[in-house]
Amino acid sequence: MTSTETPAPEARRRGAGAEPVLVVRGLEKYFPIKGGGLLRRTVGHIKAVDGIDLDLFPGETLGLVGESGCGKSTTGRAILNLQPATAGSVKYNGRELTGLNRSQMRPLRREIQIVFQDPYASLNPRLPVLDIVGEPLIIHKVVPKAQLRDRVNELLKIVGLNPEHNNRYPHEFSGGQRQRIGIARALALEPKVLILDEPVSALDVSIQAGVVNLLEDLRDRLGLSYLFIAHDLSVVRHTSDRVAVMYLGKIVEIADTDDLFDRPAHPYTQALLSAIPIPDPQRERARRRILLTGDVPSPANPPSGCRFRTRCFKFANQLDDDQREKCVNSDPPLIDRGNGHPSACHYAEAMTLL
Amino acid sequence: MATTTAGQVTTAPVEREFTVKSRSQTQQALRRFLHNKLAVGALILYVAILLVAFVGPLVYGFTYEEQDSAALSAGPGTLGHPFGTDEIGQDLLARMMRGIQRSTYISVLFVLIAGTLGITVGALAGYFGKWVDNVLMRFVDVVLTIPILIAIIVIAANFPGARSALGIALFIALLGWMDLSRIVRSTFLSLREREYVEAAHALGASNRRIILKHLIPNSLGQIIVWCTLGAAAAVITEAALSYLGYGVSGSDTSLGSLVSIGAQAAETRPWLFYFPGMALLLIVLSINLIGDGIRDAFDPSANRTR
Amino acid sequence: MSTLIDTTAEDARSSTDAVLSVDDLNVRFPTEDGVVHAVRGVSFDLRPGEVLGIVGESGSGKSVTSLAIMGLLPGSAQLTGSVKFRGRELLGLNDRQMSVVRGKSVAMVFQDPMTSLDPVYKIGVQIAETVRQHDKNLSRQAAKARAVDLLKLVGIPNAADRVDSYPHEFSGGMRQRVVIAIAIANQPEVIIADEPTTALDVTVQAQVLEVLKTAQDETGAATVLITHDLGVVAGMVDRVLVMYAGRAVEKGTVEDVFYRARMPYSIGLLGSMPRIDAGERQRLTPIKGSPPSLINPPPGCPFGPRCPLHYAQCDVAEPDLRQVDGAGHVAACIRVDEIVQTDADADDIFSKDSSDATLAAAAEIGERAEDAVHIEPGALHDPTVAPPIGGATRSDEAAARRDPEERA
Repeated sequence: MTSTETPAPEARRRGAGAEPVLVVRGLEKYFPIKGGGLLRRTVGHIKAVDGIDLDLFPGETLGLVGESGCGKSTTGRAILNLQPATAGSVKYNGRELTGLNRSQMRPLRREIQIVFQDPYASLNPRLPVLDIVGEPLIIHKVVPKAQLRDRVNELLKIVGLNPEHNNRYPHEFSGGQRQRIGIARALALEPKVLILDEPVSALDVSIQAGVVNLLEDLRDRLGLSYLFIAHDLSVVRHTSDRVAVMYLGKIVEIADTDDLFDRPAHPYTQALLSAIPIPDPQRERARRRILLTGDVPSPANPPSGCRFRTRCFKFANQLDDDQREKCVNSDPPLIDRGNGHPSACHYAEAMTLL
Repeated sequence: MATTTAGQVTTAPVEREFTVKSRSQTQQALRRFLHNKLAVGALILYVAILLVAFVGPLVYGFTYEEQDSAALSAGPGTLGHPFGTDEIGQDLLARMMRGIQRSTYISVLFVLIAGTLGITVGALAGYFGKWVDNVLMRFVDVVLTIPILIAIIVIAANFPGARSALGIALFIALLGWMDLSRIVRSTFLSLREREYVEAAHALGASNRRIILKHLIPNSLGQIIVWCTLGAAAAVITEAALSYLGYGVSGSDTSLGSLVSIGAQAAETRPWLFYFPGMALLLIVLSINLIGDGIRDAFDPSANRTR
Repeated sequence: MSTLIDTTAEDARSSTDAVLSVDDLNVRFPTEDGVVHAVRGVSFDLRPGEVLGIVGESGSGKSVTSLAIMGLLPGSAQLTGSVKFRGRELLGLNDRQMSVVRGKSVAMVFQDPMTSLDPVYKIGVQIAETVRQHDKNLSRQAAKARAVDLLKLVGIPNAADRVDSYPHEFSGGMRQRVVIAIAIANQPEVIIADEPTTALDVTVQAQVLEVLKTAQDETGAATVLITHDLGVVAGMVDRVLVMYAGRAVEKGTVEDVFYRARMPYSIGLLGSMPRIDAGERQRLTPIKGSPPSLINPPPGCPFGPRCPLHYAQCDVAEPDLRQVDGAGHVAACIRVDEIVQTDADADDIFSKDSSDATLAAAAEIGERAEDAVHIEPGALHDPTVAPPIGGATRSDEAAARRDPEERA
């Protein structure tokens, strides 16, 4: 069952012409900033997610990357309706999810599930594993009580844990094992889509690898689609078929994985790739570095036009005044500019960095 | 085919390494509590007092109502009364045992009633937030403004039956749950953001399920601390009410009544005051120490070397 | 009480003797559960201007080592061994004596930029404070001027204005630059950076690492860089020390350790890392299980339970660091010769399946479990035989799974 080389993306996207399971259009999530005073009126908004479009095809892993504050985690939660979207549409198999109330959403929870980042915080410390993994089965009355234990044991086996430990508490497991418990819980309802919110970031590198392998096996065996949210591009490159790069609430580039890493077009992606250290001394020291200047702007007050311009090396060094005007005044749309995949930069130019 | 030695060498260390043995919160708390000598001592003392009060009457010669006309206002140790008697010959020790029983009964009832009220209000306010929180907390504020003294006078005047142990417990409870509601509310406010609660939402859990299965069990530390300290406070409050004349009436008695009645006799028959007074002191002190011990046991940052 | 004599002479800097010498450092912590032996005999020498990377995962003891060197462990910690700065013993100095060393001779950069700066003082004041502490004759103005210079050096824009800002007005990356500025303010000879960029975004990390390089160039200081990130190590250090379970398990130049790792843990660690420049997607090789408890560690190699090359001899005693390949390259494994001979890498030693170790353990007990690790069948039953390297390759796994009955 285990393969040592993952099948090519096209092969996995069975029926590449297949309809996407998840269609996101114009998704926005704003958090109000309340002023002081008696009435506490809203004085502004943190625009955590500011209009993104995504498609997730069956059987694929779509990586969603970005640094802190880019809105990727919020995107995941908005798609699941854990945090209701402020605007935009999220369709699962054609069914609109935004605007649904709790009880309308409940049956759909069987289709889309989430694995959280922190293996120490995402499991209730007071419940044994049997209850943790069994909870979704109880809530949705999936199996009669008599079969609950068996089903939970099956799930534990699937994620590579010993079913004899189902009466133990989370603190009796290591970080990697706890993450496997979280995965078992997410799989209990046999969802079709799994949102993975930084699933391995909190784990040691040698343990990450085991969980990453597990996720790959599960996707292939169970026919799942993954939205893999992460900040670690090495892991994303390894696991994803396509990658979307987010910056300050917007997607700035989206491409097939190899395309993105071999020929990034957006300056932010280029800077990101050049910043990631490679565990190879000769390569690492011979690399070309693109260093960004300044800090990430506040999502409450993003720059006008292209939001990346305040840190952009192109803007700072390579453009003339007329071109800069365009960056200041016009927010570049996410379209293919002749680089083979969409990017949101008026002057996008593919570069090979790795 | 594996020989036992082979099995032991390769499997035993493997098994040990692969699950981490650490202590759960409860085990750690228990361990810390047991290392707290003061708290453990207080627990032993309190249990001893309760044993005497509840088991004592079964073996003791006198009952709390019995009037020994041969020994009126007898001093301690005289005429077969180890703690002496009052002016109508009732044995003080017997009355104290009864009194402790009643006081304990009152404090247990208090914890149950006030606990339920406080947890419910606090949970709803902390979990739902927004207007629910606002309304409930304003209600709490209002109840907090009720002066206990006026209230007891009004109640006593209009509900003569309120002078029973049950009535007093109810009264104290209805005016004593607010603190707990605030504690539960703030605990819920912080727990609400935890990832495992988010996970429960993502699974489609109902609000009721999240509150009962996830939030309350994880708030138990705070709640238990309140329970112990509340029990102590209830005993004292009852004593105060008795002193003011609103305590348990009739031939039945409570520790508070004994203390308050005894206070009046303190000059001439000191044993009637000091014995119950000491008992009250010891009970409240030990409950407080136990409560402190529990609170420290749950608080990992409490800096105790042993 | 001895008075402090600063024995650092100017010409001492140019000596090639080790500027920091750690010998058999042991740190023990008493806890409720017993004594945790967090650092179990770590030794290394740091030459002037050299950069040493100490790598390890959680529980390896790397941070405790750096805190021990700086004398920043809690009073209950028991330290034995020796830490010498320019020949002068640091262990056993009291806090007052250590504080003369800290900041002037040995400076530290911590992980969390949010808490390493005092929020109530302006950063200019904090830099000036450290400068004036070690040079009492410096006037306030001169100290402030130095602060501005340092801020410029670490790349803070508008340094002259920002010297009067408070820490909360800076972002994480900027704060870390300030922390580095404070560290180099007194031209230390040794900088100890403990996970300096772990809490930062990757683009900010790149900036801060550049600043760290600048800081090294400016001061000529030797640096100890402690991190779990092998990519950072690859780009920054001259020599590497790999820690596992409180001990050094491999030491060598950065090329030795990355290209010719010889201790199975190091090999496994390198094999488990996904690489951003990996074109064809190869499966990762995880290391199963967890690091051992450091309370009463059992005899034998602490990596044994997780090591596919483990056999009975491994449990007898903890392996010493043995010479492998070139000079200065040592690894703690009794099978290093075989590893060198076969030039084994992660694929040869570790299996790529996705099970957790508990399932593998269950498999050994006799339950049938999917995806269990199958090392060369014979070895499972005779622990005195060392499992061959390459026994966990794909073909063997596939074969073992197909015919479980054929297992002896």
